[in-house]
Amino acid sequence: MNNAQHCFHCFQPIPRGVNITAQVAGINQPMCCYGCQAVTETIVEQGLTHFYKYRDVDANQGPALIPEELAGLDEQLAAYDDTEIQKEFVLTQNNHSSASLAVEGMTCAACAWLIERQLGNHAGVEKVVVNATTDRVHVTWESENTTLSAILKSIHRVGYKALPFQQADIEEQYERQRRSYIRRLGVAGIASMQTMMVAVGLYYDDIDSTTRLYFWWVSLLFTAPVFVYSCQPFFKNAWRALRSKSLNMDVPVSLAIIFAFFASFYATITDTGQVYYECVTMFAFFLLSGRYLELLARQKAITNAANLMKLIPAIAEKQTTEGWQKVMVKHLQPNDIIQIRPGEAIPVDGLLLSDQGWCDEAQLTGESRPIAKRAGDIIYAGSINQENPIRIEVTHTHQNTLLAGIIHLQDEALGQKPRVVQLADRVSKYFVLATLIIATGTYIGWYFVAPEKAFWTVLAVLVATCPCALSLAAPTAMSGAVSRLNQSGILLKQANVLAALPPIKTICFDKTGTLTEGRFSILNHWSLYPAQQAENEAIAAALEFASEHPIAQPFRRLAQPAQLNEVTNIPGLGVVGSVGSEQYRIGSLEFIQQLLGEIESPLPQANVFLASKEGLIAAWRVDDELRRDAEETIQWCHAQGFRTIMLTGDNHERAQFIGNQLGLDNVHAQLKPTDKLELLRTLQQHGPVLMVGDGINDAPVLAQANASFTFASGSDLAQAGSDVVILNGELLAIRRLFDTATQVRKVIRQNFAWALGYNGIILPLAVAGFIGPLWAMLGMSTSSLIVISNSLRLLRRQRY
Amino acid sequence: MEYLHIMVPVAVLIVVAIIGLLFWAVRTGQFDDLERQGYNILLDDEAPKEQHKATGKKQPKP
Repeated sequence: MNNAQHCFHCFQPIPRGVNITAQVAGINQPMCCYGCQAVTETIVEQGLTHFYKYRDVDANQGPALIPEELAGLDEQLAAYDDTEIQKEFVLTQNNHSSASLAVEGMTCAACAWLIERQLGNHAGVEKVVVNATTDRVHVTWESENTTLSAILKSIHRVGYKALPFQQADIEEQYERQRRSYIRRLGVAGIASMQTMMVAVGLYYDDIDSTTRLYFWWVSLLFTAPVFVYSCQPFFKNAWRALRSKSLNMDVPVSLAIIFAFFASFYATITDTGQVYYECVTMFAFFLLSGRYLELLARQKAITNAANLMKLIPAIAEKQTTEGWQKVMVKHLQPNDIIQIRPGEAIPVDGLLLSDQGWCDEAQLTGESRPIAKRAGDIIYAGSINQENPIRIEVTHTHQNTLLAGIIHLQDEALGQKPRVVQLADRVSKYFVLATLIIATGTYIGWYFVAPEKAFWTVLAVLVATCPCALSLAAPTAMSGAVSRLNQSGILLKQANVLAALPPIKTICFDKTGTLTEGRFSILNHWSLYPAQQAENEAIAAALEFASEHPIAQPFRRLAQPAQLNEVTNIPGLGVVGSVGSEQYRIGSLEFIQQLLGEIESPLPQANVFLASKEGLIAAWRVDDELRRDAEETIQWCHAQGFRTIMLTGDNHERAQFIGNQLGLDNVHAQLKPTDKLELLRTLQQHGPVLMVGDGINDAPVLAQANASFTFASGSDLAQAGSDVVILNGELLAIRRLFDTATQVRKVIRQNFAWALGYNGIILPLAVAGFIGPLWAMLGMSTSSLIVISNSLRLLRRQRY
Repeated sequence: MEYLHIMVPVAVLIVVAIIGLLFWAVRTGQFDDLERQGYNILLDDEAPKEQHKATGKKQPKP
């Protein structure tokens, strides 16, 4: 294939012989398929070509959606217009409906703009807001003039997939929290500027006492809202901890704030002593910024997870006396007869009534090739019908299917997942306790020595030893790492996973869809006359267009199909057709042998053959291709001393073949989900295990493993059970994650060393009364800033 | 020092106004998506011109 030519729209390589272009800003740009051409033409027609100029073409952002896949979706969209289904996600108020949709394929702000413009031109759409941070569209439309399915199709036409999703209950709460944090942060920030300004004036000794008192009152005016409003989260958290008879970081933080504020307040009213208003406001501001950043990272992870939970209307076509009728899957009963179209997922377990069918069970079993099913065979929910519409008789309804069994297994495994104990949590708890004891001790001690100094010394102790730097040590390093990984297309659902990674020495891989691409592609080819290769490919492409077998798929993109005179598809064997006067057949070796008698395959492991009456003219090996970076990843794993193990449901032969090719340490094949879980638990007895997988059948092991990665292309169930979702589709993300985890650990240790070291020095000084609250505050802030800056180093992008 | 007695209350008023503005901005969702609004100025800028070109092309020249 010619690698230099890439589609202007989707960046996929252009198949040989395909010569489609679209005119963008007066230049003919190459296109890989008619789908992309249609999308590009729509964009140009709407006058939105700016999209191509400003879109983010970073290779890390994962592959664009292939418009061809979207075209197939359009038919299913009509189901979203059903009022019964809309109840779940559409808000309707006299003729105005609004809904939130999750958008797939959106990689940058230019994408958001494109969708907004496209929908803005759509008749009947009243308001549309695209949020590039959450990958969501909020759209309001007039129910009279347009339908939801038309809106979804309109988004598809510019090359994005939009579907309603299951909004997490917690999301709304986070959104409210985020907004309240911005407000509190704003108040604290503005107030700290004002109090600092006033404080500078107070530093001069020659200030007259009237002005000084005036300034104190002004500071009090600015500090009061911070104390009452901005600091609320600290007080609430501290109170919650105390009520449940435990301690957290917020207890000494709240004590310090309360002491400093009331001491200053008292000083202002009585016109004696010192004020520390600027300490209160700056302290609140710094703490709130840290909390806000942490909240943002968590919110991002939650919205991303929610976007993955697509609301797909579970609709089935049921046979009734009046013909086929669409019904909700949850209303199906055993013995009902339903029809499933090609490409659709099978909703329930059942018996096949049609003569034969092909089912892709890769998600359930890991078997990479579609399974042939004959009448009477069991068809499992969650598998995908590959060819021809099939009819099945329902045997098990929703809760009793094989799929439901796997989900149950996953829930169970999730409950037993080993928990990561956060070092920071433990350390801080004892530290807080120690601080409180020392502060009390100091007060008692000073009370006997010099009662008038006791209060100020305790305040200095509390502020100086505020575990601020300590509490920031781990979260800031984590947020830095999470944010960097996010930028490179790796989504962490649990930031904890970074703490779980370093001790891991065993990595388990699933085969289909993890080590391999999970779809058929041409791996090798042979031609009788190499000069005729292009011609052969054109014939093969033409013939395979007639076949519905999944193995035919890669041929259709191979070349521009030749002109066929007549064509017959013989299911299960191959296709016969004529180009010009010559008759050709393509198919399995058995099919060719029917025509030519005993012949040998010219290419090892070839499985698709093209022949004319004279003899074999071409052969191809079509199989599930290894991921581009699989070899490099495994090599890296071995260089780092990891033990690599394959856990797959596929058969021994193919598993062993891939295992040998990559040089894996162990290969376990033909495993059911329960076997995988069993094996993983045995491995876990010797040490923590990382699992990388993508299928439904991997979901329980992903939930059980100490850490688990999955791909964005993987099943929803696998994503639900994993700690990390790799959005960029690179297996090498494993290396990046391990590197980042090691760095995070290093940074956290440095931060701890600094924070503990600083506190160790400042504490005795504060206890002895050498440090006033102001210096304590400055020292504390500097210490925190050092910790934050150290953590921010993690934000820098890695070079590879 | 008299000017301080005027300037400081003025500063207080400005601060109150700024906080009011901030609260309004948060309430109306100005902080919801910080990534993309910056791009609009680039993307919207020449859009009408492009549209002219696109429609212009469609009209066959006499």
